[in-house]
Amino acid sequence: MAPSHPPFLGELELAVMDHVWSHGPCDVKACHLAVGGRRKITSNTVQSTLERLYRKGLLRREKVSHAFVYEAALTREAYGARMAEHVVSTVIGTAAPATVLAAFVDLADRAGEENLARLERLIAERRASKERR
Amino acid sequence: MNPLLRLLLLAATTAVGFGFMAALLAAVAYPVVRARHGRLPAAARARRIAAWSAAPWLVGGLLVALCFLPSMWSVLGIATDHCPLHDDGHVHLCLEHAPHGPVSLVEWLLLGAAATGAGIVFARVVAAQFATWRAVVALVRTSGKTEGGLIPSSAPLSVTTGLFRPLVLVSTGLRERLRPEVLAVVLEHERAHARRRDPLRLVAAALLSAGHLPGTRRLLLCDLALACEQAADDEAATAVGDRVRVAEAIVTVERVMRSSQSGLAAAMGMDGASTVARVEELLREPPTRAPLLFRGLLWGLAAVAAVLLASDLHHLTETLLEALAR
Repeated sequence: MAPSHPPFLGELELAVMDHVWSHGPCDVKACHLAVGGRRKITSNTVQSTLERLYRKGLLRREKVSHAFVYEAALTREAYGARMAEHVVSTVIGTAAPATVLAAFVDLADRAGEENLARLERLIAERRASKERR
Repeated sequence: MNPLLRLLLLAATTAVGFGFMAALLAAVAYPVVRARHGRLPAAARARRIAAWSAAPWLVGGLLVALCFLPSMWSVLGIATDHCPLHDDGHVHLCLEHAPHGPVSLVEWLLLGAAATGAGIVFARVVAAQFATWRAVVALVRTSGKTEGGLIPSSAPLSVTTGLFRPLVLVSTGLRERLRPEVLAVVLEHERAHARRRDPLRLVAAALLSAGHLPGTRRLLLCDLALACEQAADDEAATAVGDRVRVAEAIVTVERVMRSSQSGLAAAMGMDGASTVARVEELLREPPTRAPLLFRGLLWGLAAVAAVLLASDLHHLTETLLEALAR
């Protein structure tokens, strides 16, 4: 069954995804050089992180010679969009107007076309009366 | 039972009783009062609704404090000890003569019901906020490598989040779809939320309103959410120097959200009631408040009346508690 929300990423997972998103496909060795070096972590840790991201569906992999080459299954923008949608559905799901989040327009309720047209007319009238003054 | 603990339990029972009465009164009075709230500037309205949200706790605490006032005068030597006048063994709300006797079943039931009711609401609010917070943290992490607060997402989204250090987040999708002058209004509005600490205000009100009846609580929280939005609109209008421009920005973003192909094009539950109220408010002349001196005078008179009535309240409460204890 598909998870109800996009996979949440830990700090190392996000660093690995950042590397793959920025530099394209890579194998364990290249990823360890880029991400593991400054963190002083072993190649095995990077390998298991890549494996985990593959299982979460965020990476695809292909065997080239004896090693797997990993590439992003989802662009950064697509992942961000899914996360944004998850935030909105969580806010709507709480069914409470008070949350830790304040949005520019109500996330749970859209105005109908008739209402929007009426508001635009009111705005135009107000703008016109301001300009006449 | 330890006399101090007995006194605390009695004070808590009294506070619960007063709080419940305040909640009943609010259920009747708030729908009438909210019609007058529309005449207040949004920021003042938000403060007033937040105070209404906490009314059962505030009224309960304040009236209990007033009940103890006569004995406090006596402890401070301002008035004589009044307890010997009615030392017939009834319940004492007194700092000098601690109450005696066991806690009655009615007291336990009252305290238990209040603790259970408030606990359930608290747990629900915390669980809902935690779910939102967890999703927002995950979203913020995806924007970690981009310039401050820009979410790499094609979905149109602009939010302020965080209780103590609020953060403004705008998606690349929204930024691409808005003209720079509209985006400037959106950012001013979100910054106003951050300055006003609206997420903290809303969550605190959600917790404190646990003392109200469910219908009143829903009404209060909806009104508070709208007042916070309108207060942020007012601040954005002051920043850009044009209320109509803010109204235009709201309608523009509403249209972008409607046309979005993502899951953000959410349901039309109340036909954009919040959007309509905000735009209409921006197109009206901004309301003004009564002078500070007048409001101060009213509050001063109320405080004097409360102190003068403290003794009567004390005796009435003791009589009621005695009736409950039997």
